[in-house]
Amino acid sequence: MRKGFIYLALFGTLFVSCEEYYKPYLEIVPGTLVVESRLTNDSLQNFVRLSKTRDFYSSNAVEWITGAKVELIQIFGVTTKGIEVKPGYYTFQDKPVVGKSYILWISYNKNIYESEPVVMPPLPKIDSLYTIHRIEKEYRTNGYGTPELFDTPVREINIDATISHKLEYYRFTWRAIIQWEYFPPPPPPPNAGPPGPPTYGWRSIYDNASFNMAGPKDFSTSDKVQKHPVLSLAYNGQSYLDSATQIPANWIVIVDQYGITKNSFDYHEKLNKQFSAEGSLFDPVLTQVYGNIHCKNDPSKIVLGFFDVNSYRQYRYYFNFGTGPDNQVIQRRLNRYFDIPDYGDTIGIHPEFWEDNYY
Amino acid sequence: MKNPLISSSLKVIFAFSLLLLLHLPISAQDIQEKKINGKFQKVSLQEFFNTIEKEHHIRFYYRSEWIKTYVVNQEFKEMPLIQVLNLLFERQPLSFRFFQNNSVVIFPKGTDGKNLTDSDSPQIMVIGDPLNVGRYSTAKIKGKVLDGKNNEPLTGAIIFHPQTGIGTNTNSSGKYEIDLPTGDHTLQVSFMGYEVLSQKIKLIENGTADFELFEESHNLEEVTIKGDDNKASKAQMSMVKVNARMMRELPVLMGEADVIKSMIMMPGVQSTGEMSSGFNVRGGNTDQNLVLMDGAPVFNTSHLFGFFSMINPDAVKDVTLFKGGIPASFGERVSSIMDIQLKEGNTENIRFYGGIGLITSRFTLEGPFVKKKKSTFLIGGRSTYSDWLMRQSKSAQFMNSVAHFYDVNGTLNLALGTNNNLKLIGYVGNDVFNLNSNSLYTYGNIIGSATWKVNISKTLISNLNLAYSKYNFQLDQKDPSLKEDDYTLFTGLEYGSMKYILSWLPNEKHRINAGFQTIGYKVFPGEIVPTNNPTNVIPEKVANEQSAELGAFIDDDFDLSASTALSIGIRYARFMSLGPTTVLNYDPKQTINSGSVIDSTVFGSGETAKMYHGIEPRLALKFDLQSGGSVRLSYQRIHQFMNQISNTSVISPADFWKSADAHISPLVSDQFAVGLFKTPQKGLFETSVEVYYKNLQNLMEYKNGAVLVMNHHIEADIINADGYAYGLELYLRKNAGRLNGWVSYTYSRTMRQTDNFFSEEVINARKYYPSVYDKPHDLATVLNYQISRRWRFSGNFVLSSGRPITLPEQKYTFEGRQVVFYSDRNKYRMPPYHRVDVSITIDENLRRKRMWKGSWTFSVYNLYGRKNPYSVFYRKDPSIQQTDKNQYAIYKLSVIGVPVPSITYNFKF
Repeated sequence: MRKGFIYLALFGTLFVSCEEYYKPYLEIVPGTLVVESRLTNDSLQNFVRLSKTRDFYSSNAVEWITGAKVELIQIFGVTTKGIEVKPGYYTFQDKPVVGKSYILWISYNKNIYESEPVVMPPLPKIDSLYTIHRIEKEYRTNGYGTPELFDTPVREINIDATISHKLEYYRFTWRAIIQWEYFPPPPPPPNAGPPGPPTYGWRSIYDNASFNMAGPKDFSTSDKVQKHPVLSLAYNGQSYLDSATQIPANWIVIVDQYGITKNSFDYHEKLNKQFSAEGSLFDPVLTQVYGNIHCKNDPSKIVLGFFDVNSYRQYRYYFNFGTGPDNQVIQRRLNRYFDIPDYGDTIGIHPEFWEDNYY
Repeated sequence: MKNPLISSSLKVIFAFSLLLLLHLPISAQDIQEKKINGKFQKVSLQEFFNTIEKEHHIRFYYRSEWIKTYVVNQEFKEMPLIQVLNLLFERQPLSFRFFQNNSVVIFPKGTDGKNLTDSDSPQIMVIGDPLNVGRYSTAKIKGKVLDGKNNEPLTGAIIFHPQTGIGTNTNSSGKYEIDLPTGDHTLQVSFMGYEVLSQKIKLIENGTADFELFEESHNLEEVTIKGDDNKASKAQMSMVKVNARMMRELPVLMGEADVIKSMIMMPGVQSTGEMSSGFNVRGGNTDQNLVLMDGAPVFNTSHLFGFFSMINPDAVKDVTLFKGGIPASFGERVSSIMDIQLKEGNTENIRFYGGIGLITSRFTLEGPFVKKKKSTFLIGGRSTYSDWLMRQSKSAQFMNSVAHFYDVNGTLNLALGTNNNLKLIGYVGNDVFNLNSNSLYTYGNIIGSATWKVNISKTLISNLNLAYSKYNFQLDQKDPSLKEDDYTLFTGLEYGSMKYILSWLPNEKHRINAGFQTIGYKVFPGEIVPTNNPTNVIPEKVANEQSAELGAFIDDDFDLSASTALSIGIRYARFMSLGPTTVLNYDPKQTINSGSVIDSTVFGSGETAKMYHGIEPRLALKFDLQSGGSVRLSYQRIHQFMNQISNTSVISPADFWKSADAHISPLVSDQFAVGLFKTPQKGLFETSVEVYYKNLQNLMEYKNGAVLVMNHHIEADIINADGYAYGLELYLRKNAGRLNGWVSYTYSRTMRQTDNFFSEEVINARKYYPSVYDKPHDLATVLNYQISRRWRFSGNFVLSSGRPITLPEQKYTFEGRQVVFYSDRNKYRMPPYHRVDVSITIDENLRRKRMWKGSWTFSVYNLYGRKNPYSVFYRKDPSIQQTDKNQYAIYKLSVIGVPVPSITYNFKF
């Protein structure tokens, strides 16, 4: 009875809020130019992608903008023309140089678009990378629609990096590849004999959440980025695999570190605010995100997206977390940079990028 | 002295007497008409009877223990005996009968064969000399309506004659006059929160009749709205009154009677929904309302993020909200003044009362402070047990959360002399909130005031008010990964004021108020303090702001003619932003930002860095119509020098205050209103139609991505905006009867424009756009039905337009993620808001003499479980969204999306 009263009271005070799907009428407006542009010291990451916005409820595919003239202008330097290698996707042969300023110039549909100048930052560097045991708490809605808390023991991968006058801000992306094994059982009688060869497989998990960025913390004087979490992986590798017969073995983690400008950091922060714009207590006034590209011949024309020039470095690590916090983590930096497909398997032999505790 | 005739064999004689009285026709005309004269002050009833016996040779038969507690405090002039006895025994448990033309038998009601429960049925009150029956066709009755408990006059009580529809109401002294045909009538006398009295009268000729009303047997103390000689004028319009009866009868969330939630049911007063602090008046922002507690401003009016008002309803005496035609003695805020007067304390005896609810409990103790019974005290408090409730939950989210508040209020009312009174009040309230996060919010008010009122003469009243108010907000931010980064953020505001009003009332038709006010502000915009040592956090402080505001005012309220009243006033407002401060000077050819600074000017302590001043005319005019009712007009101009900085549509406790300075101009509002007011059936109904137009200059808007917290130069993130608001307000109310209540409807618009030169300072391409408080249609209906003496039903229905919102209109892909592009500011609107609440109140006992009284209120908030949207947002959430899991969808969040039942026990001791 007492508990009943308590829960009734709680229900009356705290669990009465609810959210539901809602589809208000939205005006159909013409599409706006979107420029996604990133130039790095890695030639595989030098591109400009042009597209148009779609209506919010649209389920159509992205409309790419083809036939545009795209140029990369180094201030007091050379101008490189972009080559459209696929619809809306333009690449450059030259790589940006640290310390130099660049402008992106686009001519499309009788309009001229130009970015603000952006300076190529110095190359980034991770001072140290290490793991920490954590319990991740996550709310999941149960069958009755009530949120329930789930605890997941994880290993969180953290980094430290230096903050300098020339390079204060970083962005991180990552890919974690779980390696697994399958040992087939021996064939049953009457064909009894030795079991078949094992299968060695792998599967990738990508960073698709908000942008992971680091920089000076608010009101902090520290000249280091410390204990910055990049990703976390559950001890229970089985949770990432499709079948219980696949035995999780260990991890290859690829961390991409970008040195970015303050403007880039702010722009991505605003995007992160959008990504996390869930209904809050105070219903914040939403912020429109504008980039650093403008229409020269019609300043009232809106251009979305951002021209980014980043310095880049990739790190690869091998991890074996064991089954829990009591196990010692085996961690090793990798110097082999194979191109690893998203997923796959081989029978009887390890793929060439395979890693284990003894390599 | 005991009467020997009755003392020996009372029962026998009584039975005999009553038998005679009930069954034999008795001619007692002469004895009834005996004229009684004399002034009796604190004379026992027994002594009074002895006097009458001696003077008129009339014998009184009674039992002494029945009358020993009665005291006569009356003056009789040629009053017939029957009228005297009616007056003495009216609403008392005693009755009388004339016997054999020379005796009067006094006996308890019920012993004459009538049921005791009928004891309240009134006797016939004879007005006039019975010898003059039939001599006059009409007669005038004069008299007073008094509180039966303390004999205080009741202002605004209604005296109504249902047969003819004739009625009137009492003035500020509780006096009334009414002309009626002579003969037998039944008058209904009513007053909010008091039991309706049905009094039978025999009207013979002009005479007097005083009525006593008694509080209804409920526990929440009555809040009466009284005409105050210093405030509302005769021509006053746009004034909202909410009394405790209205508050307690409204079914509210968690059964907590609430001053502000009740106000929202009135025309022109809105809120942004559940969990919103404060209220919006005629399209104004929340910070444009000045909430005064005995003259001291309240800077945060809510507990638990808006679930409860910060004011304990048991402590409240009077509440008046001025939406327009604001008297010249008030300034500071442009939208409204909510004037809350706290109780002084009961003068008669010590009383203890309160309520126990599902989530909070409250208590109040009040009574005379000294034996003279003129100086009184009151102390009250409220607290919540939401923390305890949350700890009982198995949900880790709630177990790791904190949400509690308390408030304590006290009053000392010191009678320094017959016409000299000092009232001291104090208030402390505090909230702590953390919902399973690393941020702990703590905030609270400290308020005090002293009001010294001296009636210098019958026509001259002096009123001095000293007020102090402090609001503090604290955020303890913890970094779970690195404690060296933990810090605490402080913001706050301190306010001190002195206000003096001298009122001159040469006659009933004329009143002049003149006075001045000085205000000192100290704003603490923000300070960061490291929590731990060693730390990576640099202590940082945004410079405090000091400012002073001066006001001088005079208003003259007088009758131009019998049908026209005029109130004309003027207020001079002067504001000074004071040093020490450093003012940055910006290039006027550029938008204000860090790159457009030219130089700076340093001002020393106390030096005026910027001064603003202005004249604020006030005008109110009333024409009484021949057909009944009145037409009223008003105009006001007000400057507001303090604004709340907030980039959310709903005010949060974290929002801080900012004074006008060299770059931020004061808000200026001009409002014109006209209305038609009628009180059909002599006050039984109340109707009004009001139209207003408001012009607003120097409103605050914010640049895209504005950073507000710890911003040393907030002017760089603020956009100047102008706006206007207009509206039509309709109000119909039935004041008395078993079925009473009101309907209010408001049509209003409130628009903004940023017509600035620089593109960074423009919203929606310089076009007008609706403010977030723009809710064109707003309907509120409140019905109360007294089912029986003990059972009461109340219900209300509210319906309003959804408030404007900005929605994502387009989407695009950027670095593999979906990004949205929003519509113009406030282009869309939330779905309409509507809700029905009901409550049933059961009064446990109706006997006034019982020491402990209690009542139960069962209420259901949001009866049909309407999911009124509190906010609309978009999100990519595969676990809920049933459509394309990679796409965003729009959702609406309802804070109270189900019916919420509650039960409250109120008690009085």
